[in-house]
Amino acid sequence: MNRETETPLLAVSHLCQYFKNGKEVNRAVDDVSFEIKKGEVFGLVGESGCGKTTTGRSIIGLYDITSGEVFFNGEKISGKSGKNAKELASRIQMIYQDPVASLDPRMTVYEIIAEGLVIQGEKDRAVIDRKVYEMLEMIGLVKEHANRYPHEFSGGQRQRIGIARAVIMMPELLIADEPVSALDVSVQAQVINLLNDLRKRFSLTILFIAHDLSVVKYFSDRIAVMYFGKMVELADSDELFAHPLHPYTKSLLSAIPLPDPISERKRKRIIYRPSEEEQALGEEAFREISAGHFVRCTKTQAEQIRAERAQG
Amino acid sequence: MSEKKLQVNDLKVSFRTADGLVQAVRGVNFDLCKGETLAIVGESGSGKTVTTKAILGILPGNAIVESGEIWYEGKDLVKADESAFQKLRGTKLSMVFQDPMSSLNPIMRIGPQLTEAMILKGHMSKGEAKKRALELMADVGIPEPEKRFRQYPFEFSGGMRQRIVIAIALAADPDVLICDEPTTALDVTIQAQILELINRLKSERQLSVIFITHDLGVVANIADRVAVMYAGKIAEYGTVEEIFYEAAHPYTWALLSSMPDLDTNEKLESIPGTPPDLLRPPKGDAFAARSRYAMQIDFEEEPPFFKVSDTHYAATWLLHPDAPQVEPPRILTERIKRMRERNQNES
Repeated sequence: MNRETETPLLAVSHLCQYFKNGKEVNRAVDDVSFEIKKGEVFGLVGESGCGKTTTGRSIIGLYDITSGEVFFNGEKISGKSGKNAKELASRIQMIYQDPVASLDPRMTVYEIIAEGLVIQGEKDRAVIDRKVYEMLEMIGLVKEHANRYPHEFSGGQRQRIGIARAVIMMPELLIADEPVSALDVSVQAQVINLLNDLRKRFSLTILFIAHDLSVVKYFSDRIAVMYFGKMVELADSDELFAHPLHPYTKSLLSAIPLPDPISERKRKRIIYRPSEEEQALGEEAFREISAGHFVRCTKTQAEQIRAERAQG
Repeated sequence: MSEKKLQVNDLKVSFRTADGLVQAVRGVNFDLCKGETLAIVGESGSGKTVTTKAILGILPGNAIVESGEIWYEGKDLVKADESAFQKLRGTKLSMVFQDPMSSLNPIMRIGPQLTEAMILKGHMSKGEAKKRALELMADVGIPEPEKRFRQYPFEFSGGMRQRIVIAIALAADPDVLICDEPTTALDVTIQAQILELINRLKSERQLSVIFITHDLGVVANIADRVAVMYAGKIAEYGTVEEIFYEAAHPYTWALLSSMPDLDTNEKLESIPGTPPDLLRPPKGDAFAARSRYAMQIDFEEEPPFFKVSDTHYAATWLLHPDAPQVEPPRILTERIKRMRERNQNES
């Protein structure tokens, strides 16, 4: 690994993605900025419709972004990226939520996993064979599975095939969009463990998008919370759970069901009513409270939080 | 124990398929008391949904109830005919399904969907039904019921839609509410609201609830008692505390330890392999092939229920007096220790 910690692997700056819906404009992603360092797992959480998936898709250029910039390894990839889209595809790969819909039912597992290599111009059959079989073994399938079709596999196996398809490209960045939420509990653990192994083995950088906070906490180094298109809080994973600052983060954390009946019975849910908070007026911006811990708030709120922290 | 509402004895359900009989439910026993929530947990394909569909008499056409009894108010529902079921469904026994998107009619206003059953079953006039529907909507926490009454399902968010589905299920004041993964399609914050709603309605109306889910966090929140199902059978049942703190069956251990909680940082224990093919159910303990605690006898003979306490039973040979002493997975014992310490500190 190189030690150029100065340039982050991915830098998203003031990303806006609006969708026109008749006369209305839907601000799916509104002024979102963050950086992902090499080798880290960056979790993006929020409710459905908060723009977390759109953020992921905007990064790899599935949408034409409204404004803002995306830098990959210091190089701008947003905007007129059509020319190097193919090259980019080998460096950023994506895993999708639905293991049924994301695999072509008419392709064999071999074809699915090898497709990326073939598109990138790999012609040597022996090389493709070797890589595909290696990948299959890594995800816990055997050579004999290569010629089967997706419908012959269970949900967890299919998701692992989707992971193999992405990882065979040796991407520098992997965007995992809710990779386990469509799976059964027992299978979730298999897929999370697999992602963890692969991450260590290839020192992958992962943008992990999910709504299950226990899974995100388990898997991520840093976590960003999104709410209605805006990023409201960003911190190290332990810091975020220990000292949530934004009221929305607090309400989100208080809603996580835990496998502990006694504490569940005592649980007090915090309800976030944005209308009141937003009427507080003032310049809301993303401010750094302590090293690496950002929260969206007004200047006075930020000072207040800093003062409270200093006290105790 | 309080009054028993529903009793299921040795229920067996199979499906006719092109490949032969799939034995989806293979001898399930449980009872449901008045005012309690029984959670049924297990992987997909373990027979949870089929069991509840049998209770409501809505099994698909290729299903056969091979044997068993389902007692409700002195009647055996297995022998009941469709007209008897029609009297029960919606009025005494109600169901909330997983996907609020597909359980509402997209081209019908919310109002008529709510009042439909009341007019058909409760023999109410339209005006009375509307009044009652508005009360129900307020009851399940829908703001501006008058306005919402005239809207279509697409104008509702997922959580609001699920509230409507619950309101419809409650329309005729049922005794037993069956919830099949009602929060799986929802966000955590909305899920918490719906769980609070079900908990509140349960205590206000003395409802008996059967709650199907695979999310153990949800179970800890909502259940009084828990039945863990695997491969068409109940592997373990007990009170919610017994299942979470003193589980005895290796499958329950596996389920509990495959889920990360907020303090987990070690490698998760995943369950290897896949559930057995119920066309040819395995001999002995169905979980043996995937269990690292399996003994020779697990592959040969089916374990009976061993008593752990008066309310806690588990079907595993590990509880046999001659079985070796084994420890549950470390990830689980440590979590229980952590939970105990935290709960003690708080109280």
